[in-house]
Amino acid sequence: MGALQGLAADRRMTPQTAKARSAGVLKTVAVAGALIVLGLFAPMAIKSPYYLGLLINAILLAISAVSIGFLAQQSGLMMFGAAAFTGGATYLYAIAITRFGWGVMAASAFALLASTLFCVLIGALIVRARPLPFAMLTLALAQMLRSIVLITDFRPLTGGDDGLALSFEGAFFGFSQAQLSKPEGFWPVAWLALCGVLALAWAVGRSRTGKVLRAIKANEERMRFSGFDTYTPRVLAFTLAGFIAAVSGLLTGLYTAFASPELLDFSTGGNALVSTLIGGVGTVGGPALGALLFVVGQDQFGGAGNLELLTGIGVVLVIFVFPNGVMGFIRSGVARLGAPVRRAQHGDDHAAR
Amino acid sequence: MTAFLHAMSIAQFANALALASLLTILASGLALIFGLRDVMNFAHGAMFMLGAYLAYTISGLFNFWAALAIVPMLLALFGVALEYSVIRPLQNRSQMDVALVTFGLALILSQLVIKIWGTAPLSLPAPASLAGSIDLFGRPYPSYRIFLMVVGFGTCAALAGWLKYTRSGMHVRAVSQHPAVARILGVNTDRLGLLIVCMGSGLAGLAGVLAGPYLSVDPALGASILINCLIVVVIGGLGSIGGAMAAAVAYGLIQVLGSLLSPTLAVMAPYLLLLFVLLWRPQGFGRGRVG
Amino acid sequence: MLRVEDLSVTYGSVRALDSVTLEVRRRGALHGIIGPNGAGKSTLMDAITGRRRPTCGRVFVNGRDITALSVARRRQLGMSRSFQRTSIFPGIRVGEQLELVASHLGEHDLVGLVETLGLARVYDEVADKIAYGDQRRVDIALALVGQPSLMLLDEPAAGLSTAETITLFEHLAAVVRDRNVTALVVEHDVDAVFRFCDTITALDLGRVLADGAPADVRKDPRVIAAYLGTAA
Repeated sequence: MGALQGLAADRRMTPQTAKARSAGVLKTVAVAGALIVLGLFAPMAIKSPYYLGLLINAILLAISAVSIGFLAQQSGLMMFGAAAFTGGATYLYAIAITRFGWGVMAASAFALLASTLFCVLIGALIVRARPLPFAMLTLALAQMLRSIVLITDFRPLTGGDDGLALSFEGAFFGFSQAQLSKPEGFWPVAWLALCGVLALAWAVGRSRTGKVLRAIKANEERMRFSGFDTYTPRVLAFTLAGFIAAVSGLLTGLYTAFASPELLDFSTGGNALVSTLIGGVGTVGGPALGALLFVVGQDQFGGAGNLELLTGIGVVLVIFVFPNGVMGFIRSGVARLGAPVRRAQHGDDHAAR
Repeated sequence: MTAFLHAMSIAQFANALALASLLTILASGLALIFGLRDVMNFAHGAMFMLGAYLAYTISGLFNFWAALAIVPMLLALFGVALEYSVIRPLQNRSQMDVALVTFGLALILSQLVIKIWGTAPLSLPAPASLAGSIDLFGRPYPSYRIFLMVVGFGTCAALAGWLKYTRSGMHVRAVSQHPAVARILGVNTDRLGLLIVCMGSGLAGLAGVLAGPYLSVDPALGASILINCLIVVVIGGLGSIGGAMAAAVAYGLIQVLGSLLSPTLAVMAPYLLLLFVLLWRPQGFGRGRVG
Repeated sequence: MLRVEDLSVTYGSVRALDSVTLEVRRRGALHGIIGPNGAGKSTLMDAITGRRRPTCGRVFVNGRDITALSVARRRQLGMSRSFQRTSIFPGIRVGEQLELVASHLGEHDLVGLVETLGLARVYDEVADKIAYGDQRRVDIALALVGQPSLMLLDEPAAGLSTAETITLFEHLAAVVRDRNVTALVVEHDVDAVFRFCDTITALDLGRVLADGAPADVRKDPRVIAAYLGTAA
């Protein structure tokens, strides 16, 4: 049934249709819930701490990639300097624990809240920039934070080029530092964070705000001429993306118990960026898939030096070969397979009219 | 006391100019490539760094002057590769796609440099004839930096002259301002594009050689100089050579004077300026496209 | 309904609009704006809708001075426009974009609107993949959604054949009648304008030449000299 008929039919929604709809939603939620719970038991299936650790690295990368992908998909803006938001959060967390002497829960809340506030302010300023200047600004932001962290006068606060090693007593949602530093212990935190972030990005994408954002991306002027405020939604999208990136940064701090200037490097942002591109920005989960492929690729090709090389080669290849990323490639393949079926359906509709 | 202050500000002023001269060479190259090809070359900093490292090796094998002659040409060759393998094939893709590729290239180049030369900072000594110092208003000042300024600003003056007075220079200005019209009038934009990319790359290499004895040659060079360069180009007006030069001088002054007042300010000032310019005057302060 | 007072727009040394004053009082009327190239028709449209800031002059809608209001605010108050160069939402389905605007502005008969403009056929298609004529009508539909009281259409028939133009104007006349909208239409196809419009303003070189019923404008010697030549 075409959408127009559906629109007319909506006004005549029957109890049966409503019931069928909510049943469908319930089913999706149930399936998702089952997958999430199942995922919690991964350490039982994957005995090797090495591979579990690899997966955790993939999750940390995946969350920042989801952040980049979300902003790109909803607003058409590419965060070249995502490291500013991930590394920034890590530093805020580390400083709160080592310099302010706060407990781990307070420090975590601080890291997330302060990062989000920072994003609101930055977003208010840069969200109206065209894509290329926006990318340059985020890159400059990351570099600026890196320079600030390295200023000798700030060494007591930021640890300078040695970085900040931290340790906390007490518990993060019941997990002690010793537990969090091991892959098996950290896994539930990482896994739930990833699921939460994916759910958030998915929910916003499907919401009315998501539709408004994508319409703004498609034609900002026409949105204004259709009575929409095109500024506030974009600041919101940027803040949300920054928040997701901050989650990644906070998790990095919790897991590695260390904040270093490398977190603010070009290549750190570059890794997340290439993961996003590999996985494709068309779907919420694409960047996460890209991050997994990236980390696995790094493992296969071995060595930290090769990692950044891989990053660069990855970016170049993806733009050339897969403009829509792996996920987009898969989707268009699926779409091509599904096309004959859809055309037949459409034909039936026409005949019925 | 006053003499000391006076001398200190002269030396600091000279340092600002030395830094500025490097930035003008780099920013001009970047501005040319953007003005003509509409390509924001995020690999520009990495190319500069590659130039510095190549200069280190060639300088060690032969001498500094050989490096000065050879490295820009090597980078120009790199520019040819860049033009044919990246810029032309992606001509019809969006600005962002090409920018992403150059960003990827920057990452590749950085890692290549580490793989070949390692992560430890290298020192490239100035050639013997320039290793001493000369008398600058009563205080000794490294003669290499004077040389740097002369070559730096001289190159830019030559570039500006080329743009203004030669035929190909005129074509470059025409294409950057009205690409379609220039093409109709018979300007070979592809060949011109190749020329510009080679020139821009060669300039990056030249800056790299010159920077060797002045800055420390280490793998973080590319990233930091890229941002400085982007800031200068944007403030000067994307594509405007004259604007890039003026902005580079202003930038050098801000950096050096800022570090006297407060290191935090010195670090943050350029970024704040970039933010201001990109948001309130996206075209920068220079005068339009290449010119 | 709409009153424009002494509206001027200057680009550097060029006076694109020179003290234009016009008034459209009737609701549910089609008011044509004609003039040769460079007459300032699109500039007038841009100035009234807020796309361009006038150098001086004011715009009143239903007695209210809206000159300082933003584009979005004007739309919320009931002034919409369509565009000479088709401005729709690429990559998004026709139905989706219409529904989005409809829910934002409050539209109680989207189905009727879609059918009146002949867009039911392309409702499920992605907007940039449909035929040019259909895209033009989507552009107009986006301006019609939400019960605007005043609609400004900038060359709605641009790029359409004579037959398609007539069809379009028939649709427009029907919509204007059914929804009691006042529509200002900038149009090059003079025959269509004279045939369908209730009143006409003729511009040239940024100034109003004539204003009134089609028959009167047609006879005006200045209009004939500037625009119609011997075709009248």
